Order: sequence, then C-alpha cells, then structure tokens
Amino acid sequence: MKRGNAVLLSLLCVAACSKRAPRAAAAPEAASAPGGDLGMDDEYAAESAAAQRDYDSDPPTFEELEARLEQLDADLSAQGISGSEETAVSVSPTSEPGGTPADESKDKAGRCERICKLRDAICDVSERICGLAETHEDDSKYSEACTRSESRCEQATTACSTCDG
Amino acid sequence: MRPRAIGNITRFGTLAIGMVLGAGGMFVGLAQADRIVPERPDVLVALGQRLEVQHRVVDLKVGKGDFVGAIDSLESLRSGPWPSSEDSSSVSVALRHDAYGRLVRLRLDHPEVDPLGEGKLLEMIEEGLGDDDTEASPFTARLWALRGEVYESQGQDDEALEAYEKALEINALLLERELGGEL
Repeated sequence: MKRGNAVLLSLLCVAACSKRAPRAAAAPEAASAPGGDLGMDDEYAAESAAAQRDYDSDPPTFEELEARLEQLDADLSAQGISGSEETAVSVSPTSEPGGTPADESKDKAGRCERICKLRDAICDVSERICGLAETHEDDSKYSEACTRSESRCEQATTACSTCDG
Repeated sequence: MRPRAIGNITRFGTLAIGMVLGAGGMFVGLAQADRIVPERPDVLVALGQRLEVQHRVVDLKVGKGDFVGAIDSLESLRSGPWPSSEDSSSVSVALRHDAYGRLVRLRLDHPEVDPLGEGKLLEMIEEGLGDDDTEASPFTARLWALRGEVYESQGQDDEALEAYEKALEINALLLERELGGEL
C-alpha cells in the first residue's frame, strides 16, 4: 500500500502543482547508483512485507500518507536515484498560507531546489547552443541564440543563488 | 470473522480510501489549475500506478548496472497503452514525456545496448512528444533538448538549434512561473 499511496499522492500533487513543477531537464541516468548487496528479489520481498504490514493496520490519515511520501523521497534521494527523484521534486506540494514555520522553511527549500534544477537545465541547453554557435561563427542566428541563452542562464543562476541565500 | 478475512477487508478499505483521496485531490488540482476535468480520472490513477512500478524497477536495474534490462522495461512501458489527454488530462502527457525522456537518455548514454540508428531515436522522440496540446513541463523540455542532441549528432545543426531553443523556452517559462513572473 505504501507504494500505492505514494503514487496517489504524487498524482494529487502533480495535478495541483504541475504549472509550477520544474525539474532538471537534462539529467543523465545514474550510471552507478548505490544499490547495496540485496538481490532484486530480496528488495521486492522486503517491500512486499512492509506493504503487507500496512495493509493489516488501520487506514492511514492523509498526514501519514504525506509523511510516507516524504520518507520515500528521502529514501530515493539517499540512493542517488535520478528518475524518481526528479519526479518527486517536480510534484512537491507548494506552500499554503498559514503554514507552520517548519512547513514554510521546507516549502522554501523545495522551491529553491526546483529553481536550481531549472538553472541546471537552462544552462546545460545554453552550453549546447553556444557550442553550436562556435561552429557557425559566421551565422548571426547562432550567435544571437547563444547570447539569449546565456542571458537566460545568468538570470536562472542569479535566481538560484538568491534563493539559496 | 477470521483474521485473514478482516485483513483483506482492511486492505481493500485502505485501497479504496487511497483511491478516493487520489481522485479527489486530482479533481481539486485540476480545478485549481483551471483545466478541464478528465473524462476518465481512473485511467490517470491507473497510469500513475503503472509508471511508479516501472520507474522503480528501472531504478533498481540502473542501480545494478543492468542497462539492457532497464531499457527493456522502458521499451515495454513505451509500448503502452497511453491514454489520450482528453481521457486523463495533460498530466498523462507529461508523464509520457517523462518515460520517453528517460528511455532516450538511457539509449544515448548506452549506445552499445541494442543499438538504434539516430533516425529511430528521432522517431521515438516524435512519438513521445506526439501532437498533444500540453502544459509546459520539465519533462517536455527534456524531450526537446534530447531531440536537439540527436539532431546535433546527425550534423543537422539548424534543427538542433530549433529544438534547443524550444527546450530553453519551456524551462524559462517554468522558471518565470516559479519566480512569480519576476523575469
């Protein structure tokens, strides 16, 4: 049930926040994420056992489901997993007025993470555009695109730095 | 009633609550985003569950260095079925872009695995992008950037530039939204 709850909560957040849902756009797959020594079957078995325990207990509250989702995010981040981690970042809930200081701090951190991942994606693309411009020195189309993209990259870098404080 | 039967009832009760929460939250989210409520919210929930499982499997395979298996899993995901945006909202399109983006990234990073020509990769990207009218998403931006990468490797620089600029435009829009229109 743990995974199912996470999916449902993810969908909930995707729908609510997708207009504000950035993540790195060019992140490569983790080629050597630490997977431990467990076999895949063992990992599935452990997860299945945990799910069984969840099934047999009382239905969780919404707050408990949120806490589980955060724990899953933390687990995936700790494993250095890129794909789901990116998804998790992209579906982080946005702040609501009247939250606790701890909530606000967490929301700010999530927003900064999204901004900085967008910075990474923007600057990666800018680098590629400017790489093309170098091989097309006589073509203003490329050099102008490079200048524009560098400006975007600078803006994003400033936004990320300001956010990180 | 036997404990196992009680456990089963609790299990399905929990599942039902989860489904209701997810569907309810999704409707609220769509309403907040001024979108049309999907015809088949259940399809979106099912898609989300399928993707979550497959992405997790791919995470494990990539973690073990089994890129052949990871690509196979994503290819299986690619073969669908993928619901239409009318049935399950633009969220499903963004999720499709995510899955295709991950597959193309893996294929570009591991060309030794079941090599595909660049033409096939471009076809795959086109297939992933589709012709849906979608909201800006980082998943879509990544797929455009990958398209630029493939074009660039083919020496089609004009097409590559166009794709990179599209990716940049989407990411800049997302950043602007994140900053509340400050850019």
